[in-house]
Amino acid sequence: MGAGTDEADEDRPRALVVDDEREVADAYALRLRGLCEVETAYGGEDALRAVEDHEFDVVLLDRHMPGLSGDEVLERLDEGDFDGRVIMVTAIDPGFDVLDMPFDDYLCKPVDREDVRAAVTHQCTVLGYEVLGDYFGVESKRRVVEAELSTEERASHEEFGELQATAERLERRARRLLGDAADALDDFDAIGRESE
Amino acid sequence: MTGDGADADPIRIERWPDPACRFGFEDGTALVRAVNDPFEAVFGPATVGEPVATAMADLGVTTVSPDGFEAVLSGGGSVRVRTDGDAAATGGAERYLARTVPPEPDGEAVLAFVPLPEEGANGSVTIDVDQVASVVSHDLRNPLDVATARLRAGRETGDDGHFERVAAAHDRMERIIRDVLTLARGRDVVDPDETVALDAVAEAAWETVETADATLAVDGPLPTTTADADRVGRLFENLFRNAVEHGSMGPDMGTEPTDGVTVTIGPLDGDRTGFYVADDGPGIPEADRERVFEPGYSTDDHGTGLGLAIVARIAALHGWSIEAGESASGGVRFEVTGIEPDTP
Repeated sequence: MGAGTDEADEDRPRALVVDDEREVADAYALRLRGLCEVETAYGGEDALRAVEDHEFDVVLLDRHMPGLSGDEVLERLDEGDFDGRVIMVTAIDPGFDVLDMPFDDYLCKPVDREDVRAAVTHQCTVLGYEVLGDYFGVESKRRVVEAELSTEERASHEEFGELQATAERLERRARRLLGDAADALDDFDAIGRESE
Repeated sequence: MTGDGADADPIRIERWPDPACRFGFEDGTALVRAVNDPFEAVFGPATVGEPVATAMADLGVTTVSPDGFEAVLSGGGSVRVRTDGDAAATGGAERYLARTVPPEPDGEAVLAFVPLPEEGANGSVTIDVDQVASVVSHDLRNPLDVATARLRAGRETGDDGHFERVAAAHDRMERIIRDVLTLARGRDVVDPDETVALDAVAEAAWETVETADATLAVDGPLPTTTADADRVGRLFENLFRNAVEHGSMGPDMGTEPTDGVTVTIGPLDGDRTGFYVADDGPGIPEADRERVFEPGYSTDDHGTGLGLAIVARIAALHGWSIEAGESASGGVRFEVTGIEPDTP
């Protein structure tokens, strides 16, 4: 698994392309170049390991794979604590079976470069606002506590420390997902929260 | 027909139920002495005194090996021949095995034709529109996708590597199309007209399959026969891929391949001519052993289920039969029989 560690990619959404055919996975990774930091997994088990090891924002998932199928991976992701978005990318024409499948989008191969990029961008935007909502919830708590309590009191409070770390992580993720569209962060800053 | 060369009477070709031609040598050339009724019915009339090779050529009967009739007329052995296609209309087969019954004391011999089965035991496979659609839509989409992505990347970067991937994807699409045609219109795309060493074809096929940890063991020489080398290569590829993909699976099919499977190829024992391809994987339940050759049969939902159907079809179009059984280690053992070895 080759992590794209270009510095420019650090600020980009993280995508995992899962397809048992290496050529196909690599081709999709190629299509997402410049848009995301992309990793590839060539099987279902590989995909689950990758998701455990790294935080991914979007997973592009092939349905038919030997061993653990894409449908099974989707179920495991849904049951586990994976909090990214899943786009099925498949040569299988969807039937009624998709009604019960917890994916976020479904692309039928072959997919145009523009379409796959647009689908990923779209999911990143949706996820970005979700993360932003979580961030505002955590950050508002952090700010009111910061305004009321002294630096010493805060430093010795374990839960507050965790809250602070979570807020930072969520902010980074929202910014990388939304890019320039993250101006809601500035609006948030402009709100006066402490009574004066 | 006893084929007993010591018999003083000329061989009565009139009794032979299939086409036969008696010939004798003059100045080293085999000349037609007589032909029987089935010969005239299936191939057409032949003029007595004409060279046999010329007569057969005029009747549109050609050998499918490069040797021609001369070798079989003078040296014995056998050769596969093909009619120009009208024979079926007259009740004959399109392909025959031609043998020379050993020369008589007076220098006469008989060229006897044995009709080859149009299709072997698994020849009844048919492929329906749904299966073709499934292959076209599923299998072709991936390489098409790869080609599209690589073409664009190649144009943008000028990197030749991308164009090579485009070419590889195109090759793959071509192979898929040939596979579908093999199933749908086998006779037109399978042409057994080369002398083929099956072990060489098998070993070359092994190289093209993603065999991961699997190993190939060769347990003795495979026959050399008249075949379509490209399609027989495909036959081996599909058998190997089947062994590698299923051979290493746990019985629940839900686990990833773990240990490398060992695939063994070798000749059949006894007086059967043919070869086997065996693996040490979990095997195929007895109840399913015939069904595996049906198009669409698949134990996982990955493939199109055409792999073994293509194998059966290719075998059938060579006049061979294939059966699935159990290997010594409990895995699958495919036996391909009915292979007529080429005599050097």
